[in-house]
Amino acid sequence: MPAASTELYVALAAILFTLGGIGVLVRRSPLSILMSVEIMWNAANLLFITFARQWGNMDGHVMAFLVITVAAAEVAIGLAIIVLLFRKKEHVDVDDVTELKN
Amino acid sequence: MGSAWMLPAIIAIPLLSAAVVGLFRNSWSKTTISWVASGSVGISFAMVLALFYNFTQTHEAITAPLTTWGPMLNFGLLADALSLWWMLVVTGCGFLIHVYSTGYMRDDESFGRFMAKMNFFIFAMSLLVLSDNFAGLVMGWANVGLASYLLIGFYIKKPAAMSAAIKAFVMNSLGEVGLVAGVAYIYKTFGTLSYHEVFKAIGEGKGLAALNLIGILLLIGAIAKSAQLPLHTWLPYAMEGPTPVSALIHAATMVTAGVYLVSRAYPIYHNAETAAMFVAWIGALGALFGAVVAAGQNDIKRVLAFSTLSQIGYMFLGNGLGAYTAADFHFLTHAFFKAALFLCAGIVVHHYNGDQDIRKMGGLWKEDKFAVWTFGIGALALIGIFPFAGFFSKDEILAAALNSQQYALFAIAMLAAGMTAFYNVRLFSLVFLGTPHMAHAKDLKKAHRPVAVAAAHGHDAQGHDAHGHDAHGHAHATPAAMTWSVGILAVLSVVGGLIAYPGWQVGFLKSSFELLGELEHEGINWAVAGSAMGLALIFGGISYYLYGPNGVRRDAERNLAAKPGILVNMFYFDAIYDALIVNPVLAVGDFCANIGDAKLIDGAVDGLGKLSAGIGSGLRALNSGYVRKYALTVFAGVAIMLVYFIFMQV
Repeated sequence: MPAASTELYVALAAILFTLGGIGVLVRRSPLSILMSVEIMWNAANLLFITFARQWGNMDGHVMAFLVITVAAAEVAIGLAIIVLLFRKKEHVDVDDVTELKN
Repeated sequence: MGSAWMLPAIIAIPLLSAAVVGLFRNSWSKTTISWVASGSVGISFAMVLALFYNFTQTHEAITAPLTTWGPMLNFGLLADALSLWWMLVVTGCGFLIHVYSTGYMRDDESFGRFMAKMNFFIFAMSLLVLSDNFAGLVMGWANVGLASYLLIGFYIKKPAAMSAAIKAFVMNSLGEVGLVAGVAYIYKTFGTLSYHEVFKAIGEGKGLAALNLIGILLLIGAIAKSAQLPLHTWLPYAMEGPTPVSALIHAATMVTAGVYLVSRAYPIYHNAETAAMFVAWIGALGALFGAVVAAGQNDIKRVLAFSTLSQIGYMFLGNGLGAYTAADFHFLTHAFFKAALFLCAGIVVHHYNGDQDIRKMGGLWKEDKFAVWTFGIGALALIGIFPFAGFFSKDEILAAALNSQQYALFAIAMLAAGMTAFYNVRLFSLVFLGTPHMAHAKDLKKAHRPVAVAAAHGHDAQGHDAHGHDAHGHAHATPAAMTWSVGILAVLSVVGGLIAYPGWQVGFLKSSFELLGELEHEGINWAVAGSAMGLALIFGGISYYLYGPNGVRRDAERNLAAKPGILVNMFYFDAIYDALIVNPVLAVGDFCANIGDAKLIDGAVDGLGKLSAGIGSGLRALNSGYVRKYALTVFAGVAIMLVYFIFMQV
């Protein structure tokens, strides 16, 4: 079975990244936004792995693990923020949170 | 030469006194202030007298080097014949007028301020006269201008006095531009400012080509300071100041500084025929102009102001003709009789509650014999009646005009002498002779006392020259300080001219005019003097016929409703200057203020403010606080960068 070409993986990563971006922009639930951000992380990870395979070295894999670790930490913080928001506002909608204005 | 220490002391003592009196003006009693202020000038006068006596014995000029200003100037003081001659009047008349002021101004609430300013004037004038170089002269010149400004504007609550002070200062600043330019040109030509070195260079025939220009530049300064045509317009308004100021600064000393300048710089004018002719013609025209305008003025002090203008014109004429000793002699006698006239005018004005309008006066003869005598003596000396002082000094100037064959100048000066008699007789008749005017008849009857502070019942909050506001209204005579100083000046007006008999003044002054060769006193030219006096008698007679007690024009002249004519308006000089210079300058100022500043500059500044405010409010819309919008911005930025890197980068 011929291996899929690198271009296809890059295209898939681009699609995933765009989908994630759109999700960040259009969703109002912070949970959905966090999940969209995860999709974007994974698009980036996919690129790392793709290029690692392309060049046949392990640097990309290392970076992918690093990203997964950082993403986990980020999600932990993000969820904590969401919980605090929920406590304060009774419901969660990112457009209700405009405190950054001031 | 052991007396050189006196020179700085003469200058420093009045300055110190000015500072001390100014500092303690509110805490010291008026008596203390009087003693300190007059005493300091008295000490200076005593030292000048000592130096003067010393000089008559040794005929040696005394110099006192003070300090060195780099390579440019050795600054020092110089007491030679000319500066001692002038210092005698500055400190002598100054002392008498200080004494007079202690009586005249005593009831003014700012008495201390007045005396401090007067002291400061004596300092500045002494510096002007005693300096041994042009730089010191300019410093003194500027400081007498400052003193004049401060004293004209002494009544700080009186708007007319404030604007008069500004007017005097502005006109004098115009002149100072000329003076400083002249002094700078002297430095450029001769490389020094010391009188001695400059005049030595001229004596050796150096720099003669530049002298006409230098002379005319210096003359501009002299014209403004001495209120000569056409920069004279400040002098009549300067009469807003207290009367002692008019007597000291605007009659006896400061306004004659121009005469001093020309006398002091005589080597320049001696070698610059054009500049000297300018001096002579300005003087002659000023003499006639002042005398004619004085005949039409209705304010007693303005009559005297124009008389001063006219007499200084004579001094300029003498200087321009090379008769420097005659000009300096006339300066001396003029200081006596004009100071006497002004101080006496101060007494007269008291009888009328500070009202200076001679149309409302008359019949003062019966009320105040002292004023009649002193004023009469002053007027006779001013007209030049034998044997009063003005007779001799004016004769010398007229004779100089005739001897140098300047017949046009001689004719003008003779006519001016006639007009002098005309306005003096008019002034004397309207003030002292005949019957009192309706407006003041009642006042005079009430104030029937020797010489009274009539202001007791005429309270004038604006602070005219009314001095005492005697709360209890009881009569008291003119203070002895006033009568004595006026009396001494009157006596000097009688005898001051007699030194011309042996020609003593020429013998004294000639050491200051070495470049002219050995000066000889030419004696009194009786033909000229006699015809001038005859002319004066004719003009005086006409004036008496017109304005005397039964004069044909007397009632018309005293009509307060009469429309002011060309003479009252001083030949419309002020109106012309207003139209030609003042109003255009004001218009430019208005334009700059209302258009340039308010619209252009403020517009630019406000515009910048509005611009950044607009940018800010535009940008504020972006700062919505919606996290998704921020995210969109980030994405948009990344997208733009991607497009750039992918498609634009080659």
